[in-house]
Parts: sequence; structure tokens; C-alpha cells
Amino acid sequence: MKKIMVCLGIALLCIIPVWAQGGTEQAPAPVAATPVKQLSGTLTVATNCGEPTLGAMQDVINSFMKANPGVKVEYTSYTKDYENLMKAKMAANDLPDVFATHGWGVNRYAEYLMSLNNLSFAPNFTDAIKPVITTKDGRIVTMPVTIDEKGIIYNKDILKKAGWNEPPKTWKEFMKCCDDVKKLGVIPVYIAGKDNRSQASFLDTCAPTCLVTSPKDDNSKALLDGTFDWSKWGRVAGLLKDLSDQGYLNVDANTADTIYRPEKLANGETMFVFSDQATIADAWSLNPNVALSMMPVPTYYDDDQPVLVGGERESYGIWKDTKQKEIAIAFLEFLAQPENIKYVSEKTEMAIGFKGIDVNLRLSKDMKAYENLRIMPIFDREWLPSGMWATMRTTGAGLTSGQISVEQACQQMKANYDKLMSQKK
Amino acid sequence: MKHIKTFLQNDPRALSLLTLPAVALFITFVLVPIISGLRISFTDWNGYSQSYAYVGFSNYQEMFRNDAVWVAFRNTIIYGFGSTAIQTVIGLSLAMLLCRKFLMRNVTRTFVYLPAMVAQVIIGYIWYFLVSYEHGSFNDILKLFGHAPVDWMAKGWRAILFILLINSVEYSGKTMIIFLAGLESIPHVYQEAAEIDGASGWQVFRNITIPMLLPAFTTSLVLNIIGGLKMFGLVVALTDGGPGYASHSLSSLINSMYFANQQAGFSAAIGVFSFIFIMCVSVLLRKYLNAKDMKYNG
Amino acid sequence: MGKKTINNRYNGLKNIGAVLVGIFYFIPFYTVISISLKTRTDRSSHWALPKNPQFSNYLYALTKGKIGLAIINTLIVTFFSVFLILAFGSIASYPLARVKNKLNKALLSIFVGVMMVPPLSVLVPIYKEMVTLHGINTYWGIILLTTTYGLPKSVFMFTNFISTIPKELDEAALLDGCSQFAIFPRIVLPNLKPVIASIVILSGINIWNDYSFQLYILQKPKLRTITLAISTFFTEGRANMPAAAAAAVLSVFPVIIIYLCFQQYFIEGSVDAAIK
Repeated sequence: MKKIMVCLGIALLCIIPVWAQGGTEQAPAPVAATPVKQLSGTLTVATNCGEPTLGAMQDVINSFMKANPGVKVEYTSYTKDYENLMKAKMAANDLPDVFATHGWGVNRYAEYLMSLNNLSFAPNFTDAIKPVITTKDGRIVTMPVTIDEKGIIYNKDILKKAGWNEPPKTWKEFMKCCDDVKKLGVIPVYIAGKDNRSQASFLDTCAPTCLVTSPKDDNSKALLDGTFDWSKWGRVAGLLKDLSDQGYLNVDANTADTIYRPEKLANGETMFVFSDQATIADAWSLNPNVALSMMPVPTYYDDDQPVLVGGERESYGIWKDTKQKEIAIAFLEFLAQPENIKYVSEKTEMAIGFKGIDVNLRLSKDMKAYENLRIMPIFDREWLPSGMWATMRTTGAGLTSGQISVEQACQQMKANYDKLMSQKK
Repeated sequence: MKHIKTFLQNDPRALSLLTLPAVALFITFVLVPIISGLRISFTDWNGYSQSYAYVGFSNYQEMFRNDAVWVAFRNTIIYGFGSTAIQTVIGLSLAMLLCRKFLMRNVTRTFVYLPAMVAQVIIGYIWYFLVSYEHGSFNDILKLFGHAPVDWMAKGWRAILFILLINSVEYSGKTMIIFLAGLESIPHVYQEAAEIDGASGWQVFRNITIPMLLPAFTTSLVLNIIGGLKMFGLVVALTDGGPGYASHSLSSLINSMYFANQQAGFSAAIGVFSFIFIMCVSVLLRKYLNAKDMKYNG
Repeated sequence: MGKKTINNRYNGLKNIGAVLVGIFYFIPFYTVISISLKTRTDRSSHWALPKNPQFSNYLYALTKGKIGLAIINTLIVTFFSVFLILAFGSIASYPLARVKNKLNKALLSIFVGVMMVPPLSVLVPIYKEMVTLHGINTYWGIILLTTTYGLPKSVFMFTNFISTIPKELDEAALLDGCSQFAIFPRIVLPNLKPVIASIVILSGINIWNDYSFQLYILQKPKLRTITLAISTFFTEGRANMPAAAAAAVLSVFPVIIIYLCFQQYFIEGSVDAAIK
């Protein structure tokens, strides 16, 4: 008996090398660029994205390698561990040649990034995205492949069934809508709270209209110079608490894993999800017929206009000390080619930051209605010191689990805010 | 030259040279990082920038005021000592059940030891699918009986309880093996002699089996306590410290704070605290066990 | 004999008990295998077996997840680390067990103390050090690191075990003209088989399942080990539970095979731990 097991074991161990070859990915390659010069070498590219972005990027990278046979691109996504890893790498001054800046190009990674102002695609950025990727001294430090232009995901069919013709425009209306949806037996808002970035993301999305969009109560200056009155944060934290108290959240808001989100949307079991278009694409991969769309963020004041929240999504920068400057530049310029941008955008249903490229997204028609709305930068990146995201995570989780009150959330935000602001000096 | 030769040949102290490779590794990869970590705990470093400032003991002060740290500390004690207690009981019971030969013995032993070989993170994710609200296996059983599904990990104490139980049950295989070895090493003559003298099963157990298992108890106790106090993977996979921060252990808290919170200095302080705490527990434990050992063998 | 009859009387109950215990411990594995054979859109209960088992998930895990490669990397790291742990640990334990002077006692306490360092608290200092030493993305880097953190347990067990080998053997060899450094390989080493088996298994499993060190040191995709490869499945955006389950099953497979082949050494090897 033992001999048989040993033989089996050894046999399996021999088969493993065959498995290890891995499948060669037969990707429908987008248009390959004509190689300008023979480049050769290895380029390390790191990111944090998940599917569908990861697959789309991999396809584009495969064509880049096809067009430049001497180049090998090592493309890795570290998903949840990306930020931690990058911090360790920055501390040791050991960065990948090209890496994703996921919204922090200007506010965190800038000192490690090469300027991209002289590259071929630099003049093509839209006016909306340009300020987000440019540092105070005018350096463009990252190139967005896709950008965030998001609000709240909602289900069009459920909206109609609940008796609404249009998505809610103010938070008051939003709450009423939740109530109507709940009566239909559908979960109004689904938060996959096991990963507390979900709660932080919620707060991030709601914050702009509560604090900076209305001209009669614009706190941007106060936020940036340290004089902000943190009791006003109660409006934002209060929204989360109210949703939780009124039972408009899913029962397992604190323990649900994000792995369940797409299927809840795909099966019409939930109405609102605070996430971006990639989640919609994910849900469509499970059920292409569910009527999902994106609505702008409702306002706090009745006379204010809803907004979309935007910023870098999948965006790459070049390490200023990279040894593969030529290849890195060629890589970014390849990525920036219209066909490739279009490919990634259409695969992920995400908007783009370049002028003059026509993308055909399923959501394009719906989004056209919001063409003239303001696009606000992502709240914590623009108006809060780097590091507040973590406090939003812990306070958000505390609010949904009932561990802290709204006042305590405001206090904790203020405490960390003060500490980080003083560190900045 | 001759002195060195005599030294190497005859002086037993020369043998300590054999520890050199291990010591070299230790200095490079343990001592230096610990000192570095200690230094960081006195700064306000955010974990990635090239500059930082020294802030004295403020990280430690803040640590003592921080509620999450105390919760994590309490949880770590629960996980450490609680797991050990439960694992000892389960391990011993299983060992007693599975020591004498019978039909299902070997197969069952394999199944019991199986989870012990799987990484904590993976066991955690698998159990997540069993206890999760959405489609969890436990909830499916409840639904079968017409009961509404329960979000098992939603309340702080329940999350802690589940983590404790899952850790104890899944890894009691290791303890079982130690006790099995211990049981097999007890000479049967002792038990037979006692039974001839009219001792009942329970008396045999109490007066012969348990004392002879003492070394096994010791080993498993030390390994379990230290392992339980360092628990990390299971917490991350099951609850990620949630709900809120109710189920964090010191290790998982360090992880989440270091990177997520950009407070490397603060996190390093927690690390130092955690290390000192585990060290004290271990020293006390060994003193206590050595004393007990003396009592039985002296 | 009286003992045998008592055994027979309870055997039936024992069998039933053992079966129940076995089933309970198998539940998690049943669950993960069951999930791994379903399609992504199958929302049936985890208890129910899939109507049409899909092996495509395993294919996906092997190709996209490159699990095969990950298994090889893990084997390499584990094999060499265990080898070094045995080598360095055994020779270090010899003087610590035999020569009880102040230096050695201190060294022993320090080694055992390393067991208590939570790896996370030293992660970033270690990472910085590794970068300076150019050890990132190298096999030797991760091997030396895991060896260091696996040494304490082996030193602990070796020391305990060696102290039970009678000193008389050493002294006899010395009288026969053996040099003191030769005693170890000639006299002590041959007797260490049981504890070596024990350490191979315990350290091997720990290293196989390590996550934090491997995540930071082995960043290149082709160097990734199993725990890293699997965790990507669980944290990726796209909800693909079946593929994650398949990856998990694949990762446990080699360990189980090795266990089944070397079962008796597990228990034999634990004997010394149990009676010291």
C-alpha cells in the first residue's frame, strides 16, 4: 500500500512540471503598434487591479510584447496587498519600473515618479483629468488608462417598480427611495463590509455633496488649511448610520465578503451599490441582462446639483530611477494608443481620460444624460491629508457595526486629521 | 598555533563554535530587525517616506489609550489560552479514542490531522463559506428547519468565539498526535498492575495516565500557547478583525495598522509590546512547568 | 486476557465515534471540493454536490493561476529551508545540550526566544535589509529568512532529544581517540532519526504555509509560492469562488500525499517530544 502511494506521489510530482508550463493565453490581441526601434530587456510592471481590468491589461501587454519581441514585461497584480507592498518598497527605494498609482500619483508617489510632460500623449488629456494628475509644480506624473466617473450603481428595473421615474437627487429623496425599495423585498443598499474599504468608499462618495459642492457652504478651504469644523462630518457619517439604523443595509453588512457583490446585483437582489462601473461589468459577466446603471451622487442641499466623482482609476507612472527608461516610455506610449485605450475601456465599462477617443460602452447612453454635471475629485485624495482613508475605514466599520456613534466618528476623524496635518509641516 | 589546536581538541567550550551558523542567521535576520523595529517605535514614521522624526514615548502613550489595542490584547489572551485549553481537552480525548487499534482508527486519524496541515488563511476562508450569512452551510441547515439565517460573525463576542472554536478544533490534530505518542509510551504493565489491584478505569486514568502524560502536556502547552498568541491568518480570513475591530488579535491589528493606517511608529510600538508580552508568558510558563516537573520527577 | 475483552466490548462504539469524528473533520474539505466543481453562477447550497461536475475550474487554477509553478517554487523553498534547519539546528544543539556553561544556556534561551517574535512586527526592517543585501526575488533570500525563523523549534527539539542520548557514548568515543568535533557526526547523528523526521514535518508544514515573508520577498510572478498564488484568487475583484476553491484543493494535495506516505514517522517522531 505504502509503495503504491509513494509511486503515485512521485508520478504526480512529475506531472507538475507539465502543469507548470501554464496555458499560453490566447488573447484577442488589440491592434499591435509598429515597432519603432528594436527594444530589448525586462520591464517590471505592478498594479493592484482585479478583473476585468487585469485581463484587459494583460491582453494589451501581450500585444506590446508581440510588437517588441526583445522585451519581456513582468506584469503582476498584488490586489489587496499592493499598497502595503508599495510602501515597503518606497521605504527601501526599490520600486518597479512602471507601477499603478491608483489615485495617489500626486499625493503620495510623486517624489518617486518621472515627469511625463514630454511624452507623445501628454497633450491629449481631457481638461477634467489634467489637474488630478499634475503636481503643484506642473509635472504630469501618471497616465490614466481608465478613470473614475462614478456615482452610485442602481438597478433601473427595481427603480421603476418602486414607482420612481428618475434616480433620487437629494439624500432625503435617497432615503425615501430606499424605503420604497425595501417594501418590494429588495435590499436597498448592499455593503460588503468584511473588507472595511467598502464603508470607507461609501463615506468618500457621499462626502463631496455634503461638504464642498454647495456654493453657500463650501468647506474646501477649511479642509485644506486645517480649520475645518469636524462636527459637519456628522452629515456624512450620519448617512451611514441612518442606513444601518433604518434597516436599509443588508443584514450581513459587517461580514459579507466582496465576492458576493456581483451576484447580488446580477440577480436583482439589491438596489444600490456604492462602487464603480467595473463592478457593473462584473455583474454583467454573471447575468448580461440585468438592467444596471450609474446615477450621480445625491446632494445634501435641495438647491444643489448632483455630481459625479472622478479621478484616476487604472493609471500608471514610471519610477524616476528606473533602469529601463526607454522601454518604460515605449510601454506607456503604447498603452496610450487609441485602440488600446478603447479596448481596456470597453472591457471594463470605465471612462477614459483622453480627448478624441470614441468609446462604445454599454453605459455610454445612460451617462450621456450626465454629461454636463461636475466631476468632483475623490474626496479623501483631494481634501484630506494622506492617511485619512484608514480612519475612514475604521470609523466606517465602527458605524455599521454599531460600535461607535456619529459623534465618536467625527472625533476620531478630527484627531487623526490634526495629527496628519501637523506631520505635513 | 598550538594553543588553538589544543583549544579545539580538548576544550569543550570550543564546541560552541558549532552554533555559529545559527547565531549568524539570528543576528542578521532577527536581532537587527528587532532593534530597527524598536527604533521605529520611537518615531512618527508613516511607513514609506524617507524622512521621519523622533517622538519619544508618545506612540506608547497613545497605545495605552487606544481602545482597539486593548481589545486586541484581550482577544489575543483569549485566543492563546482559550485555544490551548480546548485543544488539550479535544486532543487528549481524540488520542484516547484513537490509540488502540480498531477498524476506523487510521482513517480517522488522517482526517483529524488533515486540517492541521493546511495554512490558517485557507482554513479560514473555507470556514468563512461555512458560517457566512450569504449561502453559508450552517445557515442552510437552519433554513432546512425553517429557521431564519443568522449572521454568525456579526456580534463581536460571537466572532471571537467562532475564531476561538475554529482554531481549536481544526488544529487539535497536532495536539492529538503528541498525546498519541505519549499514550503509546506508557508501559501497559502499570495499567494492568493497577487493574489487578482493583483500580477503576477512572482511577487508572487519573493516577497513571495523566501523570505519565505530563511531558506531552508540557510540550503541547508551550507550542499551543505561543501559536495561539501569534494567531493571524485565521482572523484575517474570517473577519478581518471585524465587526469593526472587535475580533482583532495583536498580530492582525499590527498588520492592519502598520500599512493601512500609515502609522509605522505606532504599529512598531504595538509590535514591541506584543513581543514582550509573549516573552513574559513563555518565561513564566517554563518556570512553572520546570517546577512541576521537579515535583514529579525529583 | 482481561484487556482484550474490554476492547472488544467498546469497539463498536469506538467505530461509530470515530466515524462521526472523521465526518466532522472532513466537512470543510467536502465543502471546498464541492464548491470547486461547480460553475460560477451555481448558487446551490454548499452541502449539495454539483449536478455536472466542472473540472474546468482546476484547469483555470492551473493555467491562469499557475498553481503548478507555485507548487514547484514552494517545494524548492521548503526543501532547502528544511535542509538548512536540520543542518544548522542539529550542530548548534549539540554543544547546547552537552556543555552546560553560561554561554550555552544564554544561547539556548535566546534561540527559543526567537519563537516569540511576531513576524509582522519585523517585516519592514527585514525588507529594507533584504533590499540592501540584494536578496529580494531570490531563492536564497527567502530560504535564509525562513530557515532563521524555523531554527528555534528545531534547536528546542534537538536539544531535548540529544540530552537523552547517554553521555557515556560520547565519553567512550573520546577515550577511543575520537576528536570532540567528530563525536557529533559519528555518534550522535545516527541516533537522531526520529527527531529529524519530526522536525522535517513540523518545519516543512510551517514553511509550506507561510505567507507574509514570501509575499514580500518573492514578488516576481514566476517565483510565487502557493499561499501567494491562492490568496490572489480570494481577493480578486471578480467573484470566482469555484476557482479559488480549486486552487485551495490543489495546494493541499501535495501535502496530503506526503503525509499519507510518511504517516508513521509523524507519530514516531512525536514520541520524543511527548516523553521529554
